[in-house]
Amino acid sequence: MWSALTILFLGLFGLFLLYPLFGILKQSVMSDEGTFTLAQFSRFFSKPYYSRTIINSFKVTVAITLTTLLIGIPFSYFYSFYRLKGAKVLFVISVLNCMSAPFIGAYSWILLLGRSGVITLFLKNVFNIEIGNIYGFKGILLVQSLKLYPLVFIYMNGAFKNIDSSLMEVSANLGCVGLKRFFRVIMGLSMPTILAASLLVFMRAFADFGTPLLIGEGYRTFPVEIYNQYLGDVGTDYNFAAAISVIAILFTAAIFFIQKWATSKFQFSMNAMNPIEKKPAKGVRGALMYCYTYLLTAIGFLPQIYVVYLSFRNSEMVRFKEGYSLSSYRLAVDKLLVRSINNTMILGLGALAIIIVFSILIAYLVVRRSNFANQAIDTFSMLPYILPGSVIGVAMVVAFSKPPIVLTGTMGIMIISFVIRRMPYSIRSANATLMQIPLSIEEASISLGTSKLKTFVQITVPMMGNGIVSGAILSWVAIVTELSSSIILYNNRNITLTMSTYVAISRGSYGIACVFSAVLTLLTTLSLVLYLVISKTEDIAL
Amino acid sequence: MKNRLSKCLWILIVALLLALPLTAAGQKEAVDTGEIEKNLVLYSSMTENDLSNLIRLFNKQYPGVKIEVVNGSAGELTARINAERNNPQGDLMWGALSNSDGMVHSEIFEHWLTEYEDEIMPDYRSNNGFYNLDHLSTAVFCVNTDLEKQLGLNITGYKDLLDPRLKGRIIMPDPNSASSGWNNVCNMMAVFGHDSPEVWEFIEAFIKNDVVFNPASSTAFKSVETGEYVVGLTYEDGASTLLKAGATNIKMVYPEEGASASAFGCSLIKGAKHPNAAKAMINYLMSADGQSELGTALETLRFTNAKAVYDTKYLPASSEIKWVTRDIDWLIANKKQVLDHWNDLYASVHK
Repeated sequence: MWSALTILFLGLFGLFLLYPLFGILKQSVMSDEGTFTLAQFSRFFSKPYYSRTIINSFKVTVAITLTTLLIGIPFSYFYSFYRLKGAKVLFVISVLNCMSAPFIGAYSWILLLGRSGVITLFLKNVFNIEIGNIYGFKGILLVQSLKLYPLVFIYMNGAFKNIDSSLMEVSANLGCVGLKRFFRVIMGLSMPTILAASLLVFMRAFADFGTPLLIGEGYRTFPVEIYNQYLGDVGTDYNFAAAISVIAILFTAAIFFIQKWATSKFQFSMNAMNPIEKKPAKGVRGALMYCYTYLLTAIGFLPQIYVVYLSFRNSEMVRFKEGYSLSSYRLAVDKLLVRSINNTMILGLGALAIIIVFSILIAYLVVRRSNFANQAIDTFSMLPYILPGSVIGVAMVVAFSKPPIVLTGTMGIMIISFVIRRMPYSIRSANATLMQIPLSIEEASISLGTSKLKTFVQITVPMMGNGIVSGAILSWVAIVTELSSSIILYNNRNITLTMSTYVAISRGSYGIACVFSAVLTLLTTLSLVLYLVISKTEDIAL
Repeated sequence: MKNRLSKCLWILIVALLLALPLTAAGQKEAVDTGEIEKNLVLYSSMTENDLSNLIRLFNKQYPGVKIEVVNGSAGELTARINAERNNPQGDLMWGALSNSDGMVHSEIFEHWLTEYEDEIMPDYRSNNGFYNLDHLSTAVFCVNTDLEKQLGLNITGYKDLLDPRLKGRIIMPDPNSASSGWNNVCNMMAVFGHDSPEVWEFIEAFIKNDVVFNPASSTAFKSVETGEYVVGLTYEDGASTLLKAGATNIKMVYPEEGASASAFGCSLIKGAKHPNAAKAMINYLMSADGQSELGTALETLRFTNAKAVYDTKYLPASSEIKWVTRDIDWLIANKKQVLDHWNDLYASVHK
């Protein structure tokens, strides 16, 4: 049965991932006459106009990754080791912070802190303080850090939860407490998770093009260049675009292997038999913790609040006006609001269901039935992790717009691209969880006479539960906010809320864009709260 | 707890898998009977004002046709049409197809022109045989008058854009990615001379004034209105739509050194599933009656049919503007070279 699954997965990855990618690779080294050439690559590296984008992207992405670690780890530490009031609210809002439509954060920050932003003018008029320019490197860093720190937070919560309290006691007995213990013991124990979170943030930040598009000004980044080459208004050059895509893939692949190598230095298995008891947050330190956690969450949530507020403002075409009404909502209904909501739910949940089932099975194949074919599946499944979304989008359309498989414009192609693009999160966490589960538990079950299948369903899967769910939540976050591949795959039948937001913003209909974004915020809030209520858990941990 | 979790999980998975087949609804094939079809998919880069008025007026004439709009920039839409070539999803495209494109998109559009071609002003008749050029887009500056006054400026033409007080306060769509950016470069060429030393001297000084280049066309007028920038290099339709929406803090400036327009149009997508409805819409857009009606409703757009009569309340009369002529053929042939030169200058300034 397992080898049949191996073949099935190899087939699926071959058809829906390798075959489309092969098309892109071929394009990058083909001249107009159909012969082999590396001219496109030399064009990229010989023109500083293009090659500088990769340096820019690298610099800002590294800065974002470090900043998210710097603000996310203390946040998670306070949250995991102390009993904070309103912890659930902190958690839900933090996750919401990374679930907003990609453009919205940047757009909102410009309205708040831009040259004539609400806060800018307030500070200037009341206190005569100039806050300076928020565009470019700084702007991208601000928007992305506030959007991506929750990923670090979610990852670290899981790591902290797995630290056995006896380890803490032992280190205390040996005289290692306070900050020293934090850096030498706690950080050491969570190093693999820190590296995993860094990689995730790095890849998300590197691939994002919505933020630099709006707030980057002259700071030209790589994904924007790929987008321009594929989808710019002015004469697109597919061969050059394909070459840039290949360079992006090689670059992210290098980062991926460096991360993998670094992680291999920190291999150990841990299972918290005695999870750490949360201490009450008291005194000055407690107050500071409250300040830090609540302030960070609030600042991160500010853009979405402001957008919700704007969605109720009067607007006419491209301008906001005085007064409040539901006029933007009425207009949004004409602009496929209902269909966008339905599609977001159907596509999101559909893709999520497939992702959960596949990740469980793939993790089992990779971890428990390790052989060459299954290792290949593991590698293939991680490939989309490092592929820019627009590349996947274009590759899919090119591959599946002609017989025998015609999928363009269907819900199917959206689901496939969501699954391919967002499954790596779930597979990673499922893999990691399964690796932590000692094989002896399953062996015990089998030696007691339970069949292998029953053991898998009743022992292995439930034990993987936590890891899968948290991976799935990350996948869900990423699916709901998916933009870069959908841009080319969507049409009016399968349009999602995020896409509708993008369309409205790029057409300058900001009132309507705010409505779509506000509805997305509402929907994601509901989905999270519903999850927390049904599962009766406090949070999601990896 | 783990047990309950996994139970939830399984219930969720089963429920979702059961629901899944419902979503994979098939597509119906259209049969061409010569009649106007009941559906029409319009790919367009035009503004909200343009689209809502066109749909309303078109539906008055053809009440049964349900029109779906897919919005996007020119590049997004043509890339999409290209990708969907074997299974076309759209019927026609309106906007961002300009007479400076040449034969680039020859493969994805039906080589079909309306019978109104003879009525079109001679300069704007189709120059590639498949674009029906229905309207003009003049390169203009959108100026924030409050900020202009604050800075003590009076912006009338290109020379004012080099003023150091405007350093970092000018926005222009990136000519590499936005059609209105390229439209503005074409106008500079027409004003200073195509590929002349003067034009490149101006462009270098212009880029050195820390002009912000944004990939999206709409920011060049929208963020001038909100006060992020003082001047935006944009196009008539975009800036005048703001005036129509009641903006009082902006004005349009037609550069005193000269202004020129690109003609933009619509085209039938090859293999369109609703060709008759699409042709009806293109006919509407090209006819004198259609252009008169739409022009009157919009008040922000200049059309190409010589017989069309309408009032453009938000645009100055043509006679008030100093016009210069573009060498369209030269621009088509040298686009890549011009952009390469532009990008090298940009890279040498922004180290």
